[in-house]
Amino acid sequence: MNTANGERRAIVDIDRVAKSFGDVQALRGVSAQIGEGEFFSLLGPSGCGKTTLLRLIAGFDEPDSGQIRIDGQPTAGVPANLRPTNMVFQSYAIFPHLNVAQNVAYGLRRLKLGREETRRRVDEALAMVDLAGYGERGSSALSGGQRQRVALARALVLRPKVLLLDEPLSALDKKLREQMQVELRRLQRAVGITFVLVTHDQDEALIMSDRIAVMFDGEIAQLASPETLYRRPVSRRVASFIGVMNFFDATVKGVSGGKVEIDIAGLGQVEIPQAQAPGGAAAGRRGRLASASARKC
Amino acid sequence: MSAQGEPAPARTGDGLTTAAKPVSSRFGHEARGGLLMVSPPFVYALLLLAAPLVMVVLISFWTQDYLTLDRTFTLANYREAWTEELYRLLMVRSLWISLLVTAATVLLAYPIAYFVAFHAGGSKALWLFLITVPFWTSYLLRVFLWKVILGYNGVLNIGLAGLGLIDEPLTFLLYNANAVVITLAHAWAPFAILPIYVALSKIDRGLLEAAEDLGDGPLQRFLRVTLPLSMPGVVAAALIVFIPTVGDYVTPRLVGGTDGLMIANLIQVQFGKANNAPLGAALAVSAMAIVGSFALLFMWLNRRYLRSPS
Repeated sequence: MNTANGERRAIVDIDRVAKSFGDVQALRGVSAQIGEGEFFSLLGPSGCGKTTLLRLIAGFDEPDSGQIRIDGQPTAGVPANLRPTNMVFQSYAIFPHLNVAQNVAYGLRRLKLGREETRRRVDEALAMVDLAGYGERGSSALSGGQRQRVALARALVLRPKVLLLDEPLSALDKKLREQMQVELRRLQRAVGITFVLVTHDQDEALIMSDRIAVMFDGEIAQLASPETLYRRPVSRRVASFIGVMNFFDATVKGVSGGKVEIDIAGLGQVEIPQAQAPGGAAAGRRGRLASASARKC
Repeated sequence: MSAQGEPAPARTGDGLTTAAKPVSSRFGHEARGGLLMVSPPFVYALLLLAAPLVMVVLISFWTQDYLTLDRTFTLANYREAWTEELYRLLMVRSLWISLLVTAATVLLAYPIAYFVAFHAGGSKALWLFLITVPFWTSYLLRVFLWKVILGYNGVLNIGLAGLGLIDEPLTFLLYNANAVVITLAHAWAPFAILPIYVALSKIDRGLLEAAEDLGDGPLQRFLRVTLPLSMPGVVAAALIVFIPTVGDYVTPRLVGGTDGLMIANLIQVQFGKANNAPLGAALAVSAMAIVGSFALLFMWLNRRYLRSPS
């Protein structure tokens, strides 16, 4: 597992970005660094600002303050069509007047590759998403899962530095969604492109991501690997959002040799490894222990 | 699994046959109800559209001797309609003027529809309302108003003279084909704006963002996504303007002078002063056939935009 983030070069550098729509503060000074080749998820309930952040990276909106650098370049004033990012839209936004191959080739035209090269890259991209031979299909004759793959191929064929995915799986049925989660992860490994995924589905984020930023109310509550997020959520809110947890009120009795001894009302004294205890555990402190062992499947 | 599954089809088959009867009879009931509902307008359409049309077609094969119609079948009227120089001239001119009107109307309507669909924000309803304001006055009055604007002592000439741009009034403004084009283009503008507006507002905004995301600047995005997706509206607008303007007779009569006369004026003369209804009918049927084939050709040329996506 390649979960470490320290050694990765930051491809997207989000620096104290704030954005308001009228009276609504969608983002309140968010900072994060997304590493090159990373599968990064923005996870949160609807209205937490995750899609806003994605749209700021894509260039559909400009931040009110703060800045976003992509591959070291400031993006302020750079329109979406000139940014090295591509997006898979929630609605997939497949052009209805073009067939599958024309949809995939849409962004290639600007590169003036010539007929043969364009065709080769379109075929390659379609093969990558398991749609080889679908090029001449009309876009209206596609199923939801196929539309999603076309949207993916259309973005990947341009070899963007960052691929942005706006809840790409939310319109699919459960079985297809689970299949695509694995597929997307495999694809990301294969192409090595940085993926930034917006989702409200905890399982999806935990399964697919290298790192997850959990967002509430326009702020990042915790940015960590799925493992850390799951084992050591920083707050009750993060814990309860990540999964179905049991919460116990407990008092810390003592800390010794990497163990924390706690007293849980009604259950008695329990020893837990310090690494799993909430941060700042010290003798005499009262706190809550979140047990992640009882997650719903 | 298969043993348990065996009887299932038979059971569903039974269920289907028993269920089928009430379903089909209900369907029949619904169909009868539907027919009942459309029958008054259908009768209306039959009496006021189909019947007169059949009459016109019939008359076009007859001949008229002063006040009596000779009902022996003849193609003489069509022969005259298609060979006489004057009729051909007027037909070609009518088509030409209509094409100019259509082109001008659609080209001018498109930006307005685009503005209302994409940039009017919360005041869309107000704009649509304003676009329909000209309909508050009658068609005839609006044509007369153009006479006031374009005339020898009209608003335009007085204005230009007042500004010192012209020494004597311009005479090419009124009583010619230009005046007909200007007047018709104005009169039909709302009919062109509305279908284009509808087509534009149906375009998913996500598609425009996708085009931008895939590297298109504003102009390319318009040419590659917005325009093709709004073509059904453009085709509808063009047909709505073209078909009736070929047969317009009020406007050329009032502002067209002799150079701006169109086929409908001639048809009117045949039914009126010339007292030759069969020839008028033959001309009308011919004009209808020509306009119809133009419309079909136009739709065929745009067929790839008109396929309904679903």
